[in-house]
Amino acid sequence: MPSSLDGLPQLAAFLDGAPMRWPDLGIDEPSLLELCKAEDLSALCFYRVSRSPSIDDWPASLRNALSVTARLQTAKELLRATETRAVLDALARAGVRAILIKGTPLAYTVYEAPALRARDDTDLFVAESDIPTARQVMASLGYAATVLCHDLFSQFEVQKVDRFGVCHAFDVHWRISTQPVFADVLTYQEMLARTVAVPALGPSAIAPHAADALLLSCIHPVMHHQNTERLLWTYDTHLLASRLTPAEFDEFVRCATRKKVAAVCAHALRLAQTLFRTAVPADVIRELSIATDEPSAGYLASQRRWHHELASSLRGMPRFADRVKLMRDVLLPSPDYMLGAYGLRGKPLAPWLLPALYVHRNVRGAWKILTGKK
Amino acid sequence: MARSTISDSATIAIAPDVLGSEVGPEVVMLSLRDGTYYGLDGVGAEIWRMLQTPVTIPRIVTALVEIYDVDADRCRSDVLTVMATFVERGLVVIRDPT
Repeated sequence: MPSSLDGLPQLAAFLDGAPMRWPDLGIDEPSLLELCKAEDLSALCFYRVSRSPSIDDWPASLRNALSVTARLQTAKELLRATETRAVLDALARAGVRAILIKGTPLAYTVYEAPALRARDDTDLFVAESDIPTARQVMASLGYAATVLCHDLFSQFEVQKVDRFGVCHAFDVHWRISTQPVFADVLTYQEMLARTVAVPALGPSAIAPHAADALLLSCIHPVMHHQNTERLLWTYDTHLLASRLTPAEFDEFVRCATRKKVAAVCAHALRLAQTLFRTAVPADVIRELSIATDEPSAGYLASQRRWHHELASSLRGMPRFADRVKLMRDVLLPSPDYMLGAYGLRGKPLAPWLLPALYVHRNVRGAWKILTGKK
Repeated sequence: MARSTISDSATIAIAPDVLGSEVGPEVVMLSLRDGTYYGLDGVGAEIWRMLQTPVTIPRIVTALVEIYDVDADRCRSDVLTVMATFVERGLVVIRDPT
């Protein structure tokens, strides 16, 4: 299986805390800095370097460069934590029990310091019936919808810039995926039934149970990022899997099998084993590998592209009406979305341009597909 | 100079509008007043940890002398200098019972 992560076992071991001297890492300084930037690993790398028994082996220029990002990320994390607490408390006061999903709860539960888990936004999972209230609460806190705020994606996205210029973005989901094949792997009610508290983010902060968190971590790169293998995401999987008890592993396997994502989960765990030597009970991989006839396994194919995802989504929709709606949303998204996407929202004559914008969008999209750019 | 105004009986605490977090051996302090952040390492980070609960200058000096091989008078002088900087930047508040 070709992987963009080939040749990184040394770095992976180091990031996981294995003592390592700089010469043994087998990568030059500019390449490491570039890799850390691309993979959002600068703060984690700085953390490991600064705790290394052989810290003096490491180039001072490398340490300084990493420390700049680590300090900035830590400062931003302090602001983000304060903001997240405020948002969760406001939602709770309005009767919305939001579950923190993806990077943020991991930062506060499995990483050694929250700032080590880089991320651009905070993902919340809410009941679909709470969407109007959640929108109102976010608006009352000064959040505005982004261009991506569109119901097609089973989520809305809002953001605001604080007085220090830091952008706080929240993705509010009512299904875990835009892809029908994955959308109901974990429903809100299923996840809510066994959440865990995240005290560091206040009394209203809850996160998925360990087995659910691992399941999400395993399917995330496949369902949303065309099976992109990022070291950061695999490290998430490693940290989560390393903390699971045998009973939790049993729950994880049962859920993955029942929800027909076993092959995807087996793939993610194997990757974690390869890079981070994750201790996974042998029967877990074996049981996950037994599954056949899983539509989600098609998402593991290499060089998967946008139109493959669309075709899978259409196939995964049980009702003809849903397929029509999806195609309509893809070909003719709402005027508000179009104006936002083209930066014309609020311009007086912009609505007259809509027919041309739709033609432009679809021709450009078709061209990208035909030329392999999408 | 602020350093001469901190009495031995005064307690020093992190200002309410200052946040801090550890990353490795470092501490990052963020002032919500102006958005400035500071990286502290070594002794500075150790002082920040002590300031998590209100503390006096003599207690800080005693603790640092136990940790580091340093003369008490020199240590006291350096701590007062650091505190003067913290006070000047609004990172700590001082409560003097006198």
